[in-house]
Amino acid sequence: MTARLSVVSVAGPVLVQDAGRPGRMHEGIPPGGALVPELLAAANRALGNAPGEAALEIAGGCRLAAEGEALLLSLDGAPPQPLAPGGAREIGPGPALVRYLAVRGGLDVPEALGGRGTLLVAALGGFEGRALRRGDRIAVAGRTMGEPRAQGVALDLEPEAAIRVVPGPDLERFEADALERLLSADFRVSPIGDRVGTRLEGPPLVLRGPERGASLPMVRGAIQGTTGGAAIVLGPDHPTTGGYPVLATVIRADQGRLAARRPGSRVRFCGVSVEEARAALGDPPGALVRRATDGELARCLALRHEVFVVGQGVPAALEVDGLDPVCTHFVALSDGSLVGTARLRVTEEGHAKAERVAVRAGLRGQGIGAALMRAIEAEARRRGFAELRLHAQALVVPFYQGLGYAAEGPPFEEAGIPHRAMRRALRSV
Amino acid sequence: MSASALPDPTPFGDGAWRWPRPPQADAATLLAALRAHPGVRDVVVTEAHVCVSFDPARPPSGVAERLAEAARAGGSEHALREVVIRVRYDGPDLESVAASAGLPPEEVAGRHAAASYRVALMGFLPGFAYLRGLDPRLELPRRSVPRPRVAAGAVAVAGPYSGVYPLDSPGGWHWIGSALDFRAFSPQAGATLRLGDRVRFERVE
Repeated sequence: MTARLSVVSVAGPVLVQDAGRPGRMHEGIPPGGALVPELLAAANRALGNAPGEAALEIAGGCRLAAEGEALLLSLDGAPPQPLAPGGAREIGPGPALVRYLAVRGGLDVPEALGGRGTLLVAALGGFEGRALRRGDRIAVAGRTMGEPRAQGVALDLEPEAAIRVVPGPDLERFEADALERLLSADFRVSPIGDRVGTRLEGPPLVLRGPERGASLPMVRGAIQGTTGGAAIVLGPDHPTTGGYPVLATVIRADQGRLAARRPGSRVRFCGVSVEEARAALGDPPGALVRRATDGELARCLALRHEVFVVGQGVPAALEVDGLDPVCTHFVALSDGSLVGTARLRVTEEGHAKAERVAVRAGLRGQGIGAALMRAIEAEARRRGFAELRLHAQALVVPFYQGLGYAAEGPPFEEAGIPHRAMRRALRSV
Repeated sequence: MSASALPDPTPFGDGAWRWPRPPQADAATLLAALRAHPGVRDVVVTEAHVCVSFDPARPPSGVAERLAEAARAGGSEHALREVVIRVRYDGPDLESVAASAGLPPEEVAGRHAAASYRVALMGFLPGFAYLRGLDPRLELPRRSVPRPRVAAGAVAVAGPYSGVYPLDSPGGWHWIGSALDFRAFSPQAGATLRLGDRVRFERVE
């Protein structure tokens, strides 16, 4: 007997969604995909499915039952749980606007125009092109790519963090202060929103001059100003063209984090460069800079010992200063081995400060330190800091000047080494 | 024109680039060339822009050169495709369009069916083609109040364009007729019309 998932009841829209329907935008077909792709991926990874496997995107809640065979389920990446045939599972609202329920093996709905996701406006894909209703029964497929992970996949959607944007491309179509408003004001998620776009309540983003009405290409994350001034951030089912100019565009790494926020949630934006946006994705090819996992801290300390204690004669007792537990650590990896590390600390005075920037001897001058600094700057900016400070060893003051830091005050000694205080503004874009 | 004659693309977030559309370039040729380029995920060509989307972790190389090359290439075989759509001019806005244009409804239908159109861009809805070539006498601003529902197959005009609604949807264009035996979008085959296609409307009583 075929394994099936049956719908006992629904308390809001429940849609089959997957990684999207790429390559069809020239036909006017939106890219689609999960509202919160990282949450879909977490649920699938917990089960050993491909990250973009078709699963249920649940707004509101629902009650589901297993038929035929036992199913293995993960909700938002939680540890996999079996559901026996005849058994039912209640799914209530979660921390995010939508939840993802994945089934090991994926949902057996047909691929339509290159994707299995539901596009409601066109009655395309998913389960009969529509939201699920009581009594629907969906067969479970056998598409797995690995073993389930008993511990699940944890994910932090950082509901308070600033949403990063790349300014443009239509800056000249707005009043001169529109970008500054976007980057400095508090917005709230409006209750009027769907997979087409998230509406924001906040100060108007005023267009300059008359509406031209010309249709412009659109992408997910585009922040449109409208003639009424309300801002709309385009979601996965956005029209492929639109008449409203775009003030800035939410970066890929933050599109899901924004879409996850419930109506009434606060939204702040911060500007980043395209390079910072790509660094935020986590897995660029080549040397890789990212936040350290908890398990990597020991390796970071070992590298710092090698660079500062062995290499520069800093006393070990000063190097390990007891502040590491309150810092955010970063690693630079090359072919899997640790080649650099640094930490971001919020000082007692409330300043963001880059510290313990260390690159393995023999690998300096290759941009690893600069990449670490970019990651720290991006993180500090995202957390709302307007500037980043550091104490630079006198020998590396020119390095930091090259990254836009200005020295201030007289030289001083720290751990027996001459230093300068330096800082750089983070608000400029 | 060399590759260097193209301006740098404007970043559109971290996963897309936008260029002003090179003048005189054939839209369908640009679209086909860029879609075939390795690493390109999606391409949207409008009347003023070319937009290329990709995986932000792996931005493709050589896209500007491909675009410049395609801009030099001129027209394509594809542009010769002609689609004939049979229309009954029975739309609820036919009378008001006639009144605004100062023409009898009969002549609105006649002028609309006499023109030869070209798909200038695709967008708004899956399968929706913006058709250039409308008789200037039929150019009107969009309806001040959009209709909550325009039926799939509705033949409509707004600004310099005509179009056929692919799906039941809200719409702000003036609904002048109904396409017969023509679907602008199907969930099996996608969009029926393609950028650059020639379109004629054939009047059916």
